[in-house]
Amino acid sequence: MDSALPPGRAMTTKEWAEIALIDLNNFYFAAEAAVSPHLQGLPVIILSNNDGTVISRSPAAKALGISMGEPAFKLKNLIWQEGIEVRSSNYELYGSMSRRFVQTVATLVPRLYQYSIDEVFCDLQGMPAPPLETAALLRSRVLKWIRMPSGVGVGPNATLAKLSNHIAKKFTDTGVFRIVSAFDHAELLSEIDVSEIWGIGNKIASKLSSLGVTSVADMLYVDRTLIREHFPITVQRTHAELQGHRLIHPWDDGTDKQAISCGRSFGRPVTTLHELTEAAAEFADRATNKLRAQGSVTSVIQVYARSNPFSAHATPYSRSKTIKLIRPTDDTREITRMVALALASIFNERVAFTKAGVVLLELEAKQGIQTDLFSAFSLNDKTEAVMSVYHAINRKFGRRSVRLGRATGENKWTAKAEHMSMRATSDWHSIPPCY
Amino acid sequence: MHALNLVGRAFRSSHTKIVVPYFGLIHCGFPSPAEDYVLAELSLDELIILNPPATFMLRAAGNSMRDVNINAGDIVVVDKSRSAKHNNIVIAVYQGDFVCKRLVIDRQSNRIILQAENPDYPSIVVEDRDQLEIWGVVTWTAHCHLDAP
Repeated sequence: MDSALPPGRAMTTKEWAEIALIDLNNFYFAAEAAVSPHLQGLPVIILSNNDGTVISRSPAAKALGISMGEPAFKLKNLIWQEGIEVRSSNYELYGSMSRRFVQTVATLVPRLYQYSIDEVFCDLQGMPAPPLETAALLRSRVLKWIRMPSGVGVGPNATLAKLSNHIAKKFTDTGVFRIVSAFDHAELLSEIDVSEIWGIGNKIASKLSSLGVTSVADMLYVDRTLIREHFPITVQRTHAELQGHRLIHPWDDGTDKQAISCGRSFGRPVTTLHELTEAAAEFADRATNKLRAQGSVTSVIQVYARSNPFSAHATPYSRSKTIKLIRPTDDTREITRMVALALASIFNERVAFTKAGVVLLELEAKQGIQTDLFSAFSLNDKTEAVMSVYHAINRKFGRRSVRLGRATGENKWTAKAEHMSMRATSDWHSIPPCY
Repeated sequence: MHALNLVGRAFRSSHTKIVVPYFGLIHCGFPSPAEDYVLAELSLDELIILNPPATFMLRAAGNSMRDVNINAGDIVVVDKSRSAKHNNIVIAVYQGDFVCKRLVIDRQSNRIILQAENPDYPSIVVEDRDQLEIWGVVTWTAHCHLDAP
């Protein structure tokens, strides 16, 4: 083996040698259709927070040429002409379906790592059945139990499992594919654009193509010295993984047990959602400052609020809400928004709240975070610029010199969601009817 | 034997109220002999939700299954992980809606009948089996007996 490999992680006991990546198709749409069967086959689009842009499309909507990230207002005519079903994002439903997805996968594989809301890495080593059989079983079980179609890719490392997954979805009828060595599939890989490789964003892809590397096969066969000369270590690692080495271990990185917590008891009982949200926004702000100070990002936000547990007049009330983010973030605005949403779901107008707090969980180092899949509508360069100015001002002139605007009035800050579907798995008044 | 440890200090907050840190119940007397059995409480979830990730709840919206005691308004518990068999009460997708019916597989004609359990309601004869989706198997139903729930 080549001794001059880019430095990766040492072999650990967590080494996974046969990896499956199961990835749900059109996750948000599929979650809606799982509990609303009439949506099957129809053109459906799911809109982002505030009904701004398209974040998920049904196959029929894709066929109409609607792209991801397209602003909803531009689609008004098309929606009318084609009778497209529009849905606001229903994160309670998506969170529930995502949890069910992971639980279902966990009934078949003992070691897994949830990489995002709709992707799970599985360690297939030591499984009784051959890898492709396990992959097919995973796929059919997820389809049957939660009615969500998926693709499963198997490979000797995370990058090749991802690539297999892409092939499973785009090039097979079975929805499963396995790469033992990428060199076995040179012809197929020459048809796949280099930007489809996990970790190769648009910028790097265009630089690669200027060097004559346009397909995955080109990348596979390109000389290592060329990559080393022109690209950072992350690309060198991806290149080595493509050739079969094991260097990237998402399941090893994300399991940090650290957490940042911020909360306090109130001087007097708080009874309005507005006041509670104000307080929680401040906790979110402080927690995010700590998060950024240590160079981490969070992917799970927990919010809790409770009444006085000793009150003689009222039954103690204590609730918490955990939100799993689609992708890790250190953006104060995003975290504050999630905290507000979570708080609204546990708020009860009959309760006098005496304590609340925010906990950021599943922290990981900011470096090495994937930036392709969701970057169009989440953490991107602009976010980065805005947030570093925000934090620089506060560092220089004192904390909270600049604050995020929180509209007053209880309805104003609530996200616009005019086409919200029913919370079919989390609210007794919203469960679907059967005739 | 049963010493009381100091686990926190009461302090005066900016207002006049005394705030005591809360650490759960601390026993000072003779320990209850039932303490070890505290977790053995009946759980309806445990009884009814046989496979949590694959269990969904629907609400009966008609009386087509009245004769098997499923009435409008009842909660219908569906386990999607089970394979539907002849004679099961199932949830099927029919013309875009969930329907709750008895699954009858007629071996002779190789037809599937979604049978209503109430003579006032029609059964559905499925001509094209490929068009039929059996969404899940009904495992339990819950009926509220209060006048105004």
